Amino acid sequence: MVNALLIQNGATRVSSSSSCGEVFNQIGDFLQRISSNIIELNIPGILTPGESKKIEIGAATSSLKFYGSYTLETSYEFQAMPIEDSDNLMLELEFLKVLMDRYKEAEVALESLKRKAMMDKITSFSTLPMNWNGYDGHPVPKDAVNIANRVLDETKYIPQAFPTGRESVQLEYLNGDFFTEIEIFSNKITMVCLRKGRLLYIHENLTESDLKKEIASFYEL
Amino acid sequence: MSSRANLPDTILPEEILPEEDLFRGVLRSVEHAFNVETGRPSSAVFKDPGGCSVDRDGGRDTHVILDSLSQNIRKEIIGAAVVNAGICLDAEICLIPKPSRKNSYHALMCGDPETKILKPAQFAVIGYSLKWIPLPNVS
Repeated sequence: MVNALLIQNGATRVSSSSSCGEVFNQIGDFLQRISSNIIELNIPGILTPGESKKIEIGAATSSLKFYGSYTLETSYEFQAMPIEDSDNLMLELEFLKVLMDRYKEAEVALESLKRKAMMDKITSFSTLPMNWNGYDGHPVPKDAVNIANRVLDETKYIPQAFPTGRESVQLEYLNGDFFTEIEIFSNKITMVCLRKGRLLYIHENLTESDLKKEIASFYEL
Repeated sequence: MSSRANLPDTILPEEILPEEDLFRGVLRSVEHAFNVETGRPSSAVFKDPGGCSVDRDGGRDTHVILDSLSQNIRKEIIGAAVVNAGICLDAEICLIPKPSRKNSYHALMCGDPETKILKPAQFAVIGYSLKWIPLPNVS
């Protein structure tokens, strides 16, 4: 669903907040709405991560020039503006196919960027200053950080990660009604799974390899 | 901020009542506290080596509590993670008032009166019910 569609001074502007997949659907709907004749296609690809953290695409139809972008997080915007030239038509279906392929590539790239960013965040837990939390918290030992990063690197899903004041890394995964908290110490791993706030199961002492399997199982619940 | 904020106007009940809220100050980046997927602070905020230090509300206004938290931690906070005492008691978490000379509202959350360490399941219950109260100028 497009949250806003404004036509001002001959330009159409759409902006919203959404996930990558939803963005594609919305752009597809939007293109179907504006024209079936595409004369120009410009998808420069990923301009991330660095400063802009944007993915940009562009295209033109017989009547509109279209370009768009969305950020690494959840916001995006795209615009359509009138143009005059209408030669060199490209079929809309072909355009959409290319667009879809590009978005698939972009989604994979985004996943990789998000994973890298989360691993960098976890690594930073080992360089936190003493008393980083105001309650005498110490930096997280590198052993615990390394385990957490290996788990993140070798499992499909990207968790939220937090340092704790007791020298551990906490990973949190959300899967619909299911939520799991994993705490990784240098010498111990615990995992608690809740469904709608009620305890479903608990593992008090997992190995690293067991944890990777448990994370995969969690997403099959 | 004055130290007056830490002195109760009335005598606090000896036991922490189920209707009280328990506050844990959060420093630095909100990234270290807030789970953007769940929309709640992480229970990681509450994890100390032993029992977890918190401030009970004691009937104070929220801004007074945040001010006194910042004063007690001796650093600027960006907000507080808050859990209801009744939820903790239901999860068999011991709530022990530990008033100090400077902070009458200080309390400890303990999983066991001897070891003090909370169990993973107790932390998970805390995490599920946490609320985030930012300072007015923090989003």
